Amino acid sequence: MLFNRTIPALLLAASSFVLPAHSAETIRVAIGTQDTTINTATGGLIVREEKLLEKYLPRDGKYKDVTYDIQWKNFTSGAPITNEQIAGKLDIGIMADFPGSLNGVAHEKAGRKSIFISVLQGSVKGSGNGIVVPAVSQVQSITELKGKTISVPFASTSHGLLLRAIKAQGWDPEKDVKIITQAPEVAGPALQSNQIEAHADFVPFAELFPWRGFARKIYDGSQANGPTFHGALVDAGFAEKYPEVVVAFLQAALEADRLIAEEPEKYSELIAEITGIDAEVNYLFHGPLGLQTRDLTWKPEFKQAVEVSIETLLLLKRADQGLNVDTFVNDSFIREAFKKSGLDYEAALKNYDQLPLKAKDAVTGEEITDIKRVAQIWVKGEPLVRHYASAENAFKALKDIEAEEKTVRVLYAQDRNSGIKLLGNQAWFVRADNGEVSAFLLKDQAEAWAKEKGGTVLDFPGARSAVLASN
Amino acid sequence: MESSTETGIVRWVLRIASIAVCLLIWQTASTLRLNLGLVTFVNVPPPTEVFQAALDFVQSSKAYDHVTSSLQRVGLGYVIASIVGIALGLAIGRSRHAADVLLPPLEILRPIPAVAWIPLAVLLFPSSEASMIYITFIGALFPILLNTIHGVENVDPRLIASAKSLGGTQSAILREVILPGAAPSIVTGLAIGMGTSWFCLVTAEMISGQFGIGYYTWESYTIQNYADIIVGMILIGFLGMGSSALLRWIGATLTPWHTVGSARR
Repeated sequence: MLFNRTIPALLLAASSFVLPAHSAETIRVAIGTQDTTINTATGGLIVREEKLLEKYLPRDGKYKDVTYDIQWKNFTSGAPITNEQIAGKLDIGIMADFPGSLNGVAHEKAGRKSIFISVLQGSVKGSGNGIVVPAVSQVQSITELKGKTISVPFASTSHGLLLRAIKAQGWDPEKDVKIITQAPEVAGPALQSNQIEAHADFVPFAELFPWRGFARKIYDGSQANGPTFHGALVDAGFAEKYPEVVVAFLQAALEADRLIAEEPEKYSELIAEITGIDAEVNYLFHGPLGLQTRDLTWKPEFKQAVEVSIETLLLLKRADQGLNVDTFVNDSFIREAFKKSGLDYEAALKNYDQLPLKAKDAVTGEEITDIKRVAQIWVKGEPLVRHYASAENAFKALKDIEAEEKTVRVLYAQDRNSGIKLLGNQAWFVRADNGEVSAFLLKDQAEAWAKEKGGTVLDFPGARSAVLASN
Repeated sequence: MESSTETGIVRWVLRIASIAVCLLIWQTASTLRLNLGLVTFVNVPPPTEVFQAALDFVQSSKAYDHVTSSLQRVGLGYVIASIVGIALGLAIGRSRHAADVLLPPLEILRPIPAVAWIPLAVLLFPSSEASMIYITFIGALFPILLNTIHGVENVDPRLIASAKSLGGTQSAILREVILPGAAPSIVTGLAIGMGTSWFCLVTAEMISGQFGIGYYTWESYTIQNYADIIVGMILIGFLGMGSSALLRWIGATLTPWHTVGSARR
């Protein structure tokens, strides 16, 4: 008896939840974020934590009597976000170029459509993706990976990088290396226990694993020179029905972008608090002269990244149909958001610079004008990172900081060739005879530089003691 | 004799009809894009589409590698679990001391889901293959262990007492009395363990991979090939069912004194 009564009651109760009521009273804005993929923070974490979406959602005209049902859901990769979007549980999804293309294909297969509305952060050269090896490994460069097993999260943007990097070596990805699939969650322990010889991954893992001390980065995405980015996708039906809401979301992202540009340390700490990914790694991406550039405009390179990912997935037989990139990528919403926020889209589109560093050298007090050899130190307990015009200034400062019994959280240096930000304790240095210190990601690059321009190749402790000894 | 063959045929017809009806309901629900409120088939691919995906899978050059990799992992994990499970089960069932020493940690480990084991499995073993085998091992171990303990504990104490009074040594009693007595229960444990080992396959193959049905299923999820996911699921279902049936058959052959299913009408 009980059974007979409860089942219909349950179904009734459930259907009233699931079937939307047909009044324009409530608009659901459900957003799928990837908090741990820290370069998506301006479209997810910061917007959510600072309640920026609420600030911009339209409340006039046809939205006058509307109540918004804002739902945030967090995931660790793009695939489950697409899954939820297909099931109609999310309206906006945040992911990289590769999973984003799969998102477009999956929507078309389901008889629907999704559109890529903006970039959030990326690199036109490919930084953010990288290849790491276990810390105990002897490998110093990709050339030594021939015949080895490399794991990578399947169909991610870093999978694209790995294939490109292998191709650039002139290798056959089927024969010359063994590529296996591995999620970042599993790759961490696998690197620690030396189970895999190398691992390619996306933001922030190619930096986080070295930062945690059990891996060493041997390849930066920029070496393969192919763009990568994370951005936002929206269900086309939703965008057609509520274009103003989509624009509001992007305005919120623009404000988040401004906030973190103004106070990178504060927001790096906020991201750390929520995701558990150390602030030192977050600052590496989001701080001035960061590893990637925050960029909401559809640069041709980012469009090309979408094209390449679709081609690669077709080539891998992982997608069975192509996508029309010209309709899939849609810049009308982001242009409108720029306009409404009083920003110049065309100017931003043409701007390829990293977030600039406007600071004075913490030792000399002089304005930093040349950024090629900039170094930075984050001292524990200090709200702001200290900036130095050169690595040798930073090394000298290290000694003073330690003399004051303060702890150094991290020392950053800029790669002399590529300009990307490096973790100092993992970098290679060349000390010229005149005392100038240049930093490099790779030992090879440092050696090549020393051979050409003269100087000694040193690791972090070596460079440090050499600088101090010269005083 | 004749009537039993007849009932045999009727039973097979019923079984096949049951699966056919399930497929029919699924096909109808998917093609009509049925939305029942609580459950919706709007985005579920119909069996016809899944069948096409299955054909593509079978014809692909990798199908053989996928299946054999998984068979190997489950097979190895299962065999190790059988040896460890039966040995521990016999010891725990026979000796109170062994039970006090061994059972508490095992009981704590038992409820831990396989997926929670992933990071430790990776840290504990030198290769990802070994980590994956460990996950299928942990999946199979506990049903085998518990059923063995149960079987040993339920051996009629009078049989053991008589064997003792007839001068049976410890090892003879174990071999001649306890093992045969506990065998039906052990076989049940082995059959359940086979199922639970397959149950953990996707979890195991999430660790890393190139080949394996669990891996294939998970990869299909990453790239949103829903039909392929179902192919993987059904394949695991078939392989699990087949290997369990094989085990029950082997078990029945080895324990002819025990008849199964006689209580059911």
